[in-house]
Amino acid sequence: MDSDSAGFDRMLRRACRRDPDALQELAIRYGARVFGLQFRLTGSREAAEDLTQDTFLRVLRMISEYRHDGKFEAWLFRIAANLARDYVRRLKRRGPVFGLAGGDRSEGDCDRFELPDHRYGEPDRDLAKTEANARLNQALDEMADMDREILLLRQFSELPFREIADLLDIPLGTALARAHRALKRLKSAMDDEN
Amino acid sequence: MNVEQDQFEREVERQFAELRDRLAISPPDPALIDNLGIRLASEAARYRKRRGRLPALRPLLGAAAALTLIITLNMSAVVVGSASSDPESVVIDWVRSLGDTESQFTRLFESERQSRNQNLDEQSEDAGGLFNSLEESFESFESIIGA
Repeated sequence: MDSDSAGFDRMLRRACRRDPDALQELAIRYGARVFGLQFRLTGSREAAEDLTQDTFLRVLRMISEYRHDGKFEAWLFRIAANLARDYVRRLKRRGPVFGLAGGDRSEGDCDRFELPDHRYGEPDRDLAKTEANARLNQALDEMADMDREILLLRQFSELPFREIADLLDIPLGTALARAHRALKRLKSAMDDEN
Repeated sequence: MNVEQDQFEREVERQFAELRDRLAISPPDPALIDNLGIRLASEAARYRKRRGRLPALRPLLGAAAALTLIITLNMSAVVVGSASSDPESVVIDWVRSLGDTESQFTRLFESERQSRNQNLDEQSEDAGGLFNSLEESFESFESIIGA
């Protein structure tokens, strides 16, 4: 165990005893990545903010169950992905939603499009960026939920595919095939813009 | 190790590396992370405080459980035995019966205190008495079945 991972393990053990400083350190270290995953999975900045908070509060409650097996990130991102999945399911039950395959935009709830700020000029470039975002979002929306989740977990958890397969309890071959399909769809959407 | 799968994994990783910048998002408002840290620290402090109080409360839990049981039994006895089916009268009867509950609880508490003060000799004497009475019961049972 190198000094970095030994230090991290010590910090996790302090977090297990609900040491406020250690928990704050976890929030600083992982907050933005958890937010990113939840933002991309839900399509809503507001929902992602709430879910990020829920994720860490759940970590606080459940951290004594963490087994110190060196897979904290997998454990954390499993909680984050589960919460986002539950949120999307609840939203789907309520009615059609933008941000999910085939849905419509639900006012005030979804802002996966990050609109550019035109105050500082370069409207052409901003417009191109908006269009690129639209294509990306559409490609993400059209993916199967599991394909999208694997791709976004790879992006934000930074775990290798084999750990993502473990996390989702699926064979590595399945995870790779789904990621490959998702990337192909994304690439084709991006190529269309050129 | 499956060589084909390894190659496929490398290929998927390569494709991912090409597109990962596209998937990145602008970072969240720093206030979100700050507030998250503050909320976690305060929740952790509350959690620790609650945990600290638990051992102090543990001895009272038994008494609280006994009290709840007595009140529940008393309540059901009053409800079953009440002359009136009017809910208001039942509640009034129950409140009156709380006086009895108090004396029952005192008796329970007192007997619990006494049993703690009993010395070991007394306890073994009680155990011996219990054993003898069990033996007598078995003997009478055997004589009844003609063994």
